[in-house]
Amino acid sequence: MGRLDDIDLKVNPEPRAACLLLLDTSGSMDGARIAELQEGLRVLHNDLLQDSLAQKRVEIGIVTFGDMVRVVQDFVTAQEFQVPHLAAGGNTPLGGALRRGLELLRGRKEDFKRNKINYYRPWVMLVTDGAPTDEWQAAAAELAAEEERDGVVVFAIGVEEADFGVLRQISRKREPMRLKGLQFRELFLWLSKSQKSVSGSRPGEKAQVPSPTGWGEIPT
Amino acid sequence: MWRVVAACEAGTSHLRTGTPCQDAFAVARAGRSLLLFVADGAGSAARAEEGSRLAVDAALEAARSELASGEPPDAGGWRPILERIVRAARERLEAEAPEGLRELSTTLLGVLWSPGHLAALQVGDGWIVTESMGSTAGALRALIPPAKGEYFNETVFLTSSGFAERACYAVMPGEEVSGIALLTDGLEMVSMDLAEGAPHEPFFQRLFELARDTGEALEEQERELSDFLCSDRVSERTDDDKTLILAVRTGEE
Repeated sequence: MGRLDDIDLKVNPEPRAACLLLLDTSGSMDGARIAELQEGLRVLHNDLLQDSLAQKRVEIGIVTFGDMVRVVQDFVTAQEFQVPHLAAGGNTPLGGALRRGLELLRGRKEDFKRNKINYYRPWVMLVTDGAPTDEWQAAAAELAAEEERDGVVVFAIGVEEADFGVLRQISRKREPMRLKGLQFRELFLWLSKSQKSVSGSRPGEKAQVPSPTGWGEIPT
Repeated sequence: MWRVVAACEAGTSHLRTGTPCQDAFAVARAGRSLLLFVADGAGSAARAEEGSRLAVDAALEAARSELASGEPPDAGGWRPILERIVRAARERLEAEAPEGLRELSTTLLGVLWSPGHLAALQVGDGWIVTESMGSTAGALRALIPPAKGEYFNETVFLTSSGFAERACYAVMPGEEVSGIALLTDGLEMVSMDLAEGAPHEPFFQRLFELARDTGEALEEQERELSDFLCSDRVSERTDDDKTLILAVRTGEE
Protein backbone atom coordinates (compact mmCIF):
# COMPACT_ATOMS: atom_id res chain seq x y z
CA MET A 1 0.00 0.00 0.00
CA GLY A 2 1.39 3.38 -0.99
CA ARG A 3 0.63 6.49 1.01
CA LEU A 4 -0.77 8.19 -2.07
CA ASP A 5 -3.13 5.36 -3.03
CA ASP A 6 -6.21 7.18 -1.82
CA ILE A 7 -5.19 10.76 -2.55
CA ASP A 8 -8.18 12.83 -3.58
CA LEU A 9 -8.14 13.58 -7.33
CA LYS A 10 -9.94 16.46 -8.97
CA VAL A 11 -12.61 15.49 -11.47
CA ASN A 12 -12.71 18.03 -14.29
CA PRO A 13 -15.18 17.82 -17.16
CA GLU A 14 -13.56 16.29 -20.24
CA PRO A 15 -12.67 18.79 -22.97
CA ARG A 16 -15.09 18.45 -25.91
CA ALA A 17 -14.57 17.99 -29.63
CA ALA A 18 -17.87 18.92 -31.30
CA CYS A 19 -18.48 17.36 -34.69
CA LEU A 20 -21.46 18.57 -36.68
CA LEU A 21 -22.80 16.44 -39.53
CA LEU A 22 -24.89 18.11 -42.22
CA LEU A 23 -26.48 15.24 -44.11
CA ASP A 24 -28.42 15.36 -47.35
CA THR A 25 -31.66 13.36 -47.02
CA SER A 26 -33.30 14.61 -50.22
CA GLY A 27 -35.27 12.28 -52.49
CA SER A 28 -32.21 11.42 -54.58
CA MET A 29 -30.58 9.84 -51.51
CA ASP A 30 -33.33 7.23 -51.30
CA GLY A 31 -32.41 3.56 -51.51
CA ALA A 32 -28.82 2.35 -51.23
CA ARG A 33 -27.40 5.82 -50.52
CA ILE A 34 -29.45 6.52 -47.42
CA ALA A 35 -29.01 2.93 -46.24
CA GLU A 36 -25.21 3.18 -46.55
CA LEU A 37 -25.19 6.62 -44.92
CA GLN A 38 -27.19 5.20 -42.01
CA GLU A 39 -24.72 2.33 -41.77
CA GLY A 40 -21.87 4.86 -41.80
CA LEU A 41 -23.31 6.55 -38.69
CA ARG A 42 -23.44 3.20 -36.95
CA VAL A 43 -19.77 2.57 -37.82
CA LEU A 44 -18.85 6.04 -36.53
CA HIS A 45 -20.63 5.45 -33.27
CA ASN A 46 -19.20 1.96 -32.70
CA ASP A 47 -15.69 3.05 -33.50
CA LEU A 48 -15.79 6.04 -31.14
CA LEU A 49 -17.04 3.79 -28.37
CA GLN A 50 -13.84 1.73 -28.70
CA ASP A 51 -11.85 4.70 -27.40
CA SER A 52 -12.27 5.44 -23.71
CA LEU A 53 -11.28 9.11 -24.04
CA ALA A 54 -12.96 9.85 -27.38
CA GLN A 55 -16.31 8.48 -26.24
CA LYS A 56 -16.38 11.09 -23.48
CA ARG A 57 -14.90 13.92 -25.52
CA VAL A 58 -16.31 13.72 -29.04
CA GLU A 59 -19.76 15.28 -29.38
CA ILE A 60 -21.93 14.51 -32.38
CA GLY A 61 -24.68 16.77 -33.70
CA ILE A 62 -26.69 16.01 -36.85
CA VAL A 63 -28.74 18.28 -39.10
CA THR A 64 -30.47 16.63 -42.07
CA PHE A 65 -31.90 18.44 -45.08
CA GLY A 66 -34.56 16.94 -47.35
CA ASP A 67 -38.29 17.57 -47.09
CA MET A 68 -37.21 20.03 -44.37
CA VAL A 69 -34.19 21.08 -42.31
CA ARG A 70 -34.17 19.00 -39.15
CA VAL A 71 -31.94 18.78 -36.09
CA VAL A 72 -32.16 15.02 -35.72
CA GLN A 73 -29.49 15.04 -33.03
CA ASP A 74 -28.46 17.98 -30.85
CA PHE A 75 -24.87 17.69 -29.59
CA VAL A 76 -24.27 14.71 -27.32
CA THR A 77 -21.10 12.80 -26.46
CA ALA A 78 -20.47 9.58 -28.40
CA GLN A 79 -21.25 7.76 -25.17
CA GLU A 80 -24.78 9.21 -25.13
CA PHE A 81 -25.32 9.16 -28.89
CA GLN A 82 -27.97 6.95 -30.44
CA VAL A 83 -27.93 6.46 -34.19
CA PRO A 84 -31.04 8.18 -35.59
CA HIS A 85 -33.19 6.69 -38.31
CA LEU A 86 -32.77 8.59 -41.57
CA ALA A 87 -35.50 8.79 -44.22
CA ALA A 88 -34.98 10.31 -47.68
CA GLY A 89 -37.44 12.56 -49.47
CA GLY A 90 -37.99 16.09 -50.76
CA ASN A 91 -35.68 18.84 -52.02
CA THR A 92 -32.15 19.85 -51.05
CA PRO A 93 -32.41 22.87 -48.66
CA LEU A 94 -28.64 23.03 -48.16
CA GLY A 95 -28.62 26.76 -47.33
CA GLY A 96 -31.11 26.23 -44.52
CA ALA A 97 -29.02 23.38 -43.15
CA LEU A 98 -25.86 25.51 -43.14
CA ARG A 99 -27.67 28.27 -41.23
CA ARG A 100 -29.21 25.88 -38.71
CA GLY A 101 -25.90 24.07 -38.28
CA LEU A 102 -23.98 27.27 -37.60
CA GLU A 103 -26.58 28.29 -35.03
CA LEU A 104 -26.29 24.94 -33.32
CA LEU A 105 -22.51 25.13 -33.25
CA ARG A 106 -22.42 28.67 -31.88
CA GLY A 107 -24.93 27.71 -29.23
CA ARG A 108 -22.77 24.77 -28.21
CA LYS A 109 -19.67 26.93 -27.90
CA GLU A 110 -21.67 29.26 -25.65
CA ASP A 111 -22.66 26.27 -23.51
CA PHE A 112 -19.01 25.27 -23.19
CA LYS A 113 -17.97 28.78 -22.20
CA ARG A 114 -20.80 29.21 -19.72
CA ASN A 115 -19.97 25.89 -18.06
CA LYS A 116 -16.22 26.53 -18.28
CA ILE A 117 -15.65 23.37 -20.28
CA ASN A 118 -12.52 23.32 -22.43
CA TYR A 119 -13.01 22.49 -26.09
CA TYR A 120 -11.27 21.80 -29.36
CA ARG A 121 -11.95 23.48 -32.68
CA PRO A 122 -15.24 22.00 -33.89
CA TRP A 123 -15.62 20.19 -37.19
CA VAL A 124 -18.43 20.49 -39.72
CA MET A 125 -18.80 17.70 -42.26
CA LEU A 126 -21.27 18.18 -45.08
CA VAL A 127 -22.44 15.24 -47.20
CA THR A 128 -24.61 15.80 -50.26
CA ASP A 129 -25.41 14.13 -53.58
CA GLY A 130 -27.01 17.10 -55.29
CA ALA A 131 -27.24 20.85 -55.62
CA PRO A 132 -29.04 23.24 -53.26
CA THR A 133 -32.67 24.07 -54.00
CA ASP A 134 -32.74 27.08 -51.67
CA GLU A 135 -30.68 30.24 -51.21
CA TRP A 136 -27.29 29.01 -49.97
CA GLN A 137 -24.68 31.63 -50.97
CA ALA A 138 -25.08 33.85 -47.90
CA ALA A 139 -24.91 30.89 -45.51
CA ALA A 140 -21.86 29.49 -47.33
CA ALA A 141 -20.15 32.87 -47.00
CA GLU A 142 -21.00 32.96 -43.31
CA LEU A 143 -19.53 29.51 -42.74
CA ALA A 144 -16.42 30.48 -44.71
CA ALA A 145 -16.04 33.58 -42.55
CA GLU A 146 -16.34 31.43 -39.44
CA GLU A 147 -13.63 29.14 -40.79
CA GLU A 148 -11.49 32.15 -41.66
CA ARG A 149 -11.70 33.19 -37.97
CA ASP A 150 -10.49 29.69 -37.04
CA GLY A 151 -13.90 29.07 -35.49
CA VAL A 152 -14.48 25.79 -37.28
CA VAL A 153 -12.93 23.21 -39.62
CA VAL A 154 -15.08 22.46 -42.69
CA PHE A 155 -15.11 19.30 -44.80
CA ALA A 156 -17.43 18.85 -47.78
CA ILE A 157 -18.07 15.44 -49.27
CA GLY A 158 -19.87 14.99 -52.58
CA VAL A 159 -21.62 11.77 -53.51
CA GLU A 160 -21.82 10.83 -57.21
CA GLU A 161 -23.50 13.69 -59.13
CA ALA A 162 -23.02 16.30 -56.35
CA ASP A 163 -22.35 19.87 -57.51
CA PHE A 164 -18.68 20.40 -56.68
CA GLY A 165 -18.84 24.03 -57.79
CA VAL A 166 -21.18 24.64 -54.84
CA LEU A 167 -19.10 22.51 -52.47
CA ARG A 168 -15.99 24.55 -53.28
CA GLN A 169 -17.88 27.65 -52.14
CA ILE A 170 -18.65 25.96 -48.83
CA SER A 171 -15.33 24.29 -48.16
CA ARG A 172 -12.89 26.99 -49.17
CA LYS A 173 -9.83 25.89 -47.25
CA ARG A 174 -9.91 22.22 -48.22
CA GLU A 175 -10.75 20.81 -51.63
CA PRO A 176 -14.10 18.99 -51.37
CA MET A 177 -13.76 15.23 -51.76
CA ARG A 178 -15.77 12.89 -53.93
CA LEU A 179 -16.90 9.75 -52.16
CA LYS A 180 -15.75 6.65 -54.04
CA GLY A 181 -18.93 4.76 -54.83
CA LEU A 182 -20.97 4.48 -51.63
CA GLN A 183 -18.06 3.97 -49.25
CA PHE A 184 -19.83 5.63 -46.34
CA ARG A 185 -18.43 3.11 -43.89
CA GLU A 186 -14.88 4.05 -44.83
CA LEU A 187 -15.77 7.74 -44.72
CA PHE A 188 -17.19 7.54 -41.21
CA LEU A 189 -14.38 5.32 -40.01
CA TRP A 190 -12.00 8.03 -41.18
CA LEU A 191 -14.11 10.64 -39.39
CA SER A 192 -13.96 8.59 -36.22
CA LYS A 193 -10.15 8.23 -36.47
CA SER A 194 -9.84 11.97 -37.09
CA GLN A 195 -12.02 12.85 -34.11
CA LYS A 196 -10.09 10.45 -31.90
CA SER A 197 -6.95 12.25 -32.95
CA VAL A 198 -8.49 15.68 -32.31
CA SER A 199 -9.91 14.75 -28.93
CA GLY A 200 -6.66 13.12 -27.84
CA SER A 201 -4.45 16.02 -28.84
CA ARG A 202 -2.83 17.91 -26.03
CA PRO A 203 -1.91 21.54 -25.68
CA GLY A 204 0.50 22.51 -28.44
CA GLU A 205 -0.25 19.48 -30.56
CA LYS A 206 -1.87 19.71 -33.91
CA ALA A 207 -4.23 16.79 -34.31
CA GLN A 208 -2.88 14.38 -36.91
CA VAL A 209 -5.71 13.86 -39.36
CA PRO A 210 -5.36 10.62 -41.34
CA SER A 211 -5.31 10.88 -45.12
CA PRO A 212 -8.74 10.44 -46.73
CA THR A 213 -7.44 7.95 -49.27
CA GLY A 214 -9.56 4.81 -49.28
CA TRP A 215 -12.93 6.49 -49.44
CA GLY A 216 -12.33 9.73 -51.26
CA GLU A 217 -10.81 11.29 -54.33
CA ILE A 218 -10.31 14.83 -55.53
CA PRO A 219 -13.10 15.48 -58.06
CA THR A 220 -11.96 16.34 -61.56
CA MET B 1 16.23 24.72 4.27
CA TRP B 2 14.14 23.05 1.65
CA ARG B 3 13.31 19.42 1.15
CA VAL B 4 12.58 18.51 -2.46
CA VAL B 5 10.74 15.41 -3.69
CA ALA B 6 10.38 15.04 -7.45
CA ALA B 7 9.29 12.49 -10.02
CA CYS B 8 8.83 12.40 -13.78
CA GLU B 9 7.04 9.58 -15.58
CA ALA B 10 6.15 8.83 -19.19
CA GLY B 11 2.46 8.87 -20.10
CA THR B 12 0.71 5.70 -21.21
CA SER B 13 0.37 7.00 -24.80
CA HIS B 14 4.15 7.29 -24.98
CA LEU B 15 4.68 3.90 -23.37
CA ARG B 16 2.34 2.36 -25.97
CA THR B 17 4.20 3.84 -28.91
CA GLY B 18 7.67 3.43 -27.41
CA THR B 19 8.20 7.21 -27.40
CA PRO B 20 10.47 8.45 -24.62
CA CYS B 21 9.18 10.70 -21.84
CA GLN B 22 9.33 14.25 -23.19
CA ASP B 23 9.19 16.06 -19.85
CA ALA B 24 12.36 17.13 -18.06
CA PHE B 25 13.14 18.76 -14.74
CA ALA B 26 16.07 20.15 -12.78
CA VAL B 27 16.56 20.92 -9.09
CA ALA B 28 19.55 22.73 -7.61
CA ARG B 29 20.65 24.76 -4.62
CA ALA B 30 22.85 27.79 -4.93
CA GLY B 31 23.89 29.20 -1.56
CA ARG B 32 20.62 29.76 0.27
CA SER B 33 18.65 29.79 -2.96
CA LEU B 34 16.59 26.97 -4.39
CA LEU B 35 16.21 26.59 -8.16
CA LEU B 36 13.44 24.49 -9.72
CA PHE B 37 12.68 24.00 -13.40
CA VAL B 38 10.31 21.78 -15.40
CA ALA B 39 9.71 21.57 -19.14
CA ASP B 40 7.22 19.69 -21.28
CA GLY B 41 8.37 18.84 -24.80
CA ALA B 42 5.55 19.06 -27.37
CA GLY B 43 4.21 15.67 -28.43
CA SER B 44 4.15 16.79 -32.05
CA ALA B 45 7.81 17.87 -32.09
CA ALA B 46 10.39 15.44 -33.48
CA ARG B 47 13.05 16.14 -30.84
CA ALA B 48 10.78 17.10 -27.95
CA GLU B 49 12.72 15.17 -25.31
CA GLU B 50 15.92 16.99 -26.28
CA GLY B 51 14.12 20.33 -26.30
CA SER B 52 12.80 19.99 -22.76
CA ARG B 53 16.16 18.75 -21.44
CA LEU B 54 18.11 21.56 -23.10
CA ALA B 55 15.62 24.14 -21.83
CA VAL B 56 15.83 23.16 -18.16
CA ASP B 57 19.62 22.74 -18.27
CA ALA B 58 20.14 26.11 -19.94
CA ALA B 59 17.70 27.81 -17.56
CA LEU B 60 19.43 26.30 -14.55
CA GLU B 61 22.84 27.36 -15.77
CA ALA B 62 21.61 30.90 -16.44
CA ALA B 63 19.93 31.09 -13.03
CA ARG B 64 23.12 29.99 -11.26
CA SER B 65 25.20 32.60 -12.99
CA GLU B 66 22.60 35.32 -12.34
CA LEU B 67 22.58 34.51 -8.63
CA ALA B 68 26.36 34.23 -8.36
CA SER B 69 26.47 37.93 -7.58
CA GLY B 70 23.75 37.65 -4.95
CA GLU B 71 20.01 38.15 -5.11
CA PRO B 72 18.54 41.49 -6.14
CA PRO B 73 17.50 43.70 -3.20
CA ASP B 74 13.91 44.31 -4.34
CA ALA B 75 11.13 42.66 -6.33
CA GLY B 76 11.69 44.94 -9.32
CA GLY B 77 15.21 43.61 -9.75
CA TRP B 78 13.94 40.10 -10.44
CA ARG B 79 12.04 40.76 -13.63
CA PRO B 80 15.10 41.35 -15.88
CA ILE B 81 16.77 38.29 -14.35
CA LEU B 82 13.79 36.08 -15.17
CA GLU B 83 13.65 37.50 -18.70
CA ARG B 84 17.34 36.76 -19.23
CA ILE B 85 16.87 33.18 -18.04
CA VAL B 86 14.04 32.63 -20.51
CA ARG B 87 16.12 34.18 -23.28
CA ALA B 88 19.12 32.03 -22.40
CA ALA B 89 17.00 28.88 -22.65
CA ARG B 90 15.58 30.01 -25.98
CA GLU B 91 19.06 30.79 -27.31
CA ARG B 92 20.27 27.35 -26.32
CA LEU B 93 17.50 25.81 -28.42
CA GLU B 94 18.30 28.12 -31.33
CA ALA B 95 21.97 27.15 -31.16
CA GLU B 96 21.06 23.47 -31.13
CA ALA B 97 18.66 23.62 -34.08
CA PRO B 98 19.08 26.83 -36.06
CA GLU B 99 17.05 25.39 -38.95
CA GLY B 100 14.47 23.29 -37.14
CA LEU B 101 13.63 25.11 -33.94
CA ARG B 102 10.09 23.71 -33.96
CA GLU B 103 11.47 20.19 -33.57
CA LEU B 104 12.60 21.19 -30.07
CA SER B 105 9.25 22.70 -29.05
CA THR B 106 8.93 22.78 -25.29
CA THR B 107 7.40 24.72 -22.43
CA LEU B 108 9.51 26.07 -19.54
CA LEU B 109 8.50 26.76 -15.96
CA GLY B 110 10.84 27.85 -13.21
CA VAL B 111 10.97 29.00 -9.61
CA LEU B 112 13.92 30.77 -7.99
CA TRP B 113 13.46 30.97 -4.25
CA SER B 114 15.72 33.10 -2.12
CA PRO B 115 15.18 34.34 1.44
CA GLY B 116 14.03 37.67 0.04
CA HIS B 117 11.79 36.64 -2.83
CA LEU B 118 10.21 33.84 -4.74
CA ALA B 119 10.52 34.61 -8.45
CA ALA B 120 8.73 32.52 -11.06
CA LEU B 121 8.69 32.28 -14.83
CA GLN B 122 6.41 30.39 -17.17
CA VAL B 123 6.27 29.93 -20.95
CA GLY B 124 3.37 27.69 -22.00
CA ASP B 125 1.23 25.21 -20.10
CA GLY B 126 1.77 23.77 -16.66
CA TRP B 127 1.29 25.10 -13.16
CA ILE B 128 3.24 26.61 -10.31
CA VAL B 129 1.43 26.25 -6.98
CA THR B 130 2.51 27.91 -3.75
CA GLU B 131 1.54 27.22 -0.17
CA SER B 132 1.73 30.18 2.14
CA MET B 133 2.58 30.55 5.80
CA GLY B 134 1.86 33.22 8.38
CA SER B 135 -1.68 34.52 8.77
CA THR B 136 -2.93 32.59 5.74
CA ALA B 137 -1.01 29.43 6.62
CA GLY B 138 -1.68 26.55 4.27
CA ALA B 139 -3.45 28.63 1.62
CA LEU B 140 -2.74 27.32 -1.85
CA ARG B 141 -2.69 29.30 -5.01
CA ALA B 142 -1.74 29.03 -8.65
CA LEU B 143 0.94 31.64 -9.05
CA ILE B 144 0.48 32.27 -12.77
CA PRO B 145 -2.90 32.03 -14.51
CA PRO B 146 -2.92 29.79 -17.60
CA ALA B 147 -2.39 31.60 -20.89
CA LYS B 148 -4.89 29.54 -22.90
CA GLY B 149 -6.32 30.36 -26.27
CA GLU B 150 -9.89 29.49 -27.24
CA TYR B 151 -9.09 25.85 -27.86
CA PHE B 152 -7.85 23.25 -25.40
CA ASN B 153 -4.93 22.14 -27.57
CA GLU B 154 -3.48 25.61 -28.08
CA THR B 155 -0.49 26.84 -26.15
CA VAL B 156 2.72 28.82 -26.55
CA PHE B 157 6.21 27.33 -26.51
CA LEU B 158 9.69 28.60 -25.85
CA THR B 159 10.19 27.97 -29.56
CA SER B 160 7.13 30.05 -30.62
CA SER B 161 7.75 33.39 -32.28
CA GLY B 162 5.80 35.24 -29.58
CA PHE B 163 7.53 33.53 -26.64
CA ALA B 164 8.91 36.72 -25.11
CA GLU B 165 5.58 38.58 -25.10
CA ARG B 166 3.68 35.54 -23.84
CA ALA B 167 6.10 34.57 -21.09
CA CYS B 168 4.59 35.20 -17.63
CA TYR B 169 6.42 36.25 -14.51
CA ALA B 170 5.57 36.56 -10.82
CA VAL B 171 7.52 37.73 -7.77
CA MET B 172 6.41 37.45 -4.16
CA PRO B 173 8.06 37.69 -0.73
CA GLY B 174 10.14 34.56 -0.11
CA GLU B 175 9.32 34.44 3.59
CA GLU B 176 5.63 33.92 2.87
CA VAL B 177 6.13 30.60 1.12
CA SER B 178 6.18 27.26 2.91
CA GLY B 179 5.65 24.94 -0.04
CA ILE B 180 6.14 25.02 -3.81
CA ALA B 181 4.86 22.62 -6.46
CA LEU B 182 5.71 22.67 -10.16
CA LEU B 183 3.83 20.42 -12.52
CA THR B 184 3.54 19.82 -16.23
CA ASP B 185 0.07 19.85 -17.76
CA GLY B 186 -0.06 16.03 -17.88
CA LEU B 187 -1.19 16.17 -14.26
CA GLU B 188 -3.63 19.06 -14.46
CA MET B 189 -6.76 16.98 -15.10
CA VAL B 190 -6.43 15.39 -11.65
CA SER B 191 -4.77 18.17 -9.65
CA MET B 192 -6.27 21.48 -10.73
CA ASP B 193 -9.78 22.88 -10.83
CA LEU B 194 -9.58 23.89 -14.48
CA ALA B 195 -12.77 25.93 -14.46
CA GLU B 196 -11.44 28.13 -11.65
CA GLY B 197 -7.74 27.86 -12.46
CA ALA B 198 -7.13 26.91 -8.83
CA PRO B 199 -5.26 24.06 -7.14
CA HIS B 200 -7.34 21.14 -5.89
CA GLU B 201 -6.51 21.56 -2.22
CA PRO B 202 -6.78 18.00 -0.86
CA PHE B 203 -4.45 16.84 -3.63
CA PHE B 204 -1.65 19.26 -2.82
CA GLN B 205 -2.15 19.07 0.94
CA ARG B 206 -1.52 15.34 0.85
CA LEU B 207 1.57 15.73 -1.31
CA PHE B 208 3.08 18.45 0.85
CA GLU B 209 2.34 16.31 3.90
CA LEU B 210 4.27 13.44 2.32
CA ALA B 211 7.22 15.68 1.49
CA ARG B 212 7.26 17.05 5.05
CA ASP B 213 7.60 13.63 6.63
CA THR B 214 11.31 13.73 7.37
CA GLY B 215 11.01 10.37 9.10
CA GLU B 216 11.00 8.66 5.72
CA ALA B 217 13.93 8.49 3.31
CA LEU B 218 13.80 10.80 0.32
CA GLU B 219 14.37 7.93 -2.12
CA GLU B 220 11.40 6.09 -0.63
CA GLN B 221 9.17 9.14 -1.07
CA GLU B 222 10.28 9.67 -4.63
CA ARG B 223 9.45 6.05 -5.37
CA GLU B 224 5.99 6.55 -3.83
CA LEU B 225 5.49 9.63 -5.96
CA SER B 226 6.57 7.78 -9.12
CA ASP B 227 4.27 4.87 -8.29
CA PHE B 228 1.41 7.30 -7.87
CA LEU B 229 2.12 9.04 -11.19
CA CYS B 230 2.09 5.63 -12.93
CA SER B 231 -0.96 4.33 -11.06
CA ASP B 232 -4.14 3.30 -12.87
CA ARG B 233 -6.05 6.06 -11.09
CA VAL B 234 -3.91 8.66 -12.81
CA SER B 235 -3.49 6.83 -16.13
CA GLU B 236 -7.25 6.50 -16.52
CA ARG B 237 -7.50 10.27 -16.62
CA THR B 238 -4.43 11.31 -18.55
CA ASP B 239 -2.15 9.58 -21.05
CA ASP B 240 0.42 12.39 -21.15
CA ASP B 241 3.87 12.56 -19.52
CA LYS B 242 3.72 14.00 -16.03
CA THR B 243 6.27 15.69 -13.84
CA LEU B 244 5.91 16.95 -10.30
CA ILE B 245 8.42 18.77 -8.12
CA LEU B 246 7.45 19.31 -4.49
CA ALA B 247 9.51 21.59 -2.29
CA VAL B 248 8.72 22.14 1.39
CA ARG B 249 10.47 24.27 3.93
CA THR B 250 11.89 22.44 6.87
CA GLY B 251 12.63 24.05 10.24
CA GLU B 252 16.41 24.01 10.26
CA GLU B 253 18.46 26.71 8.54
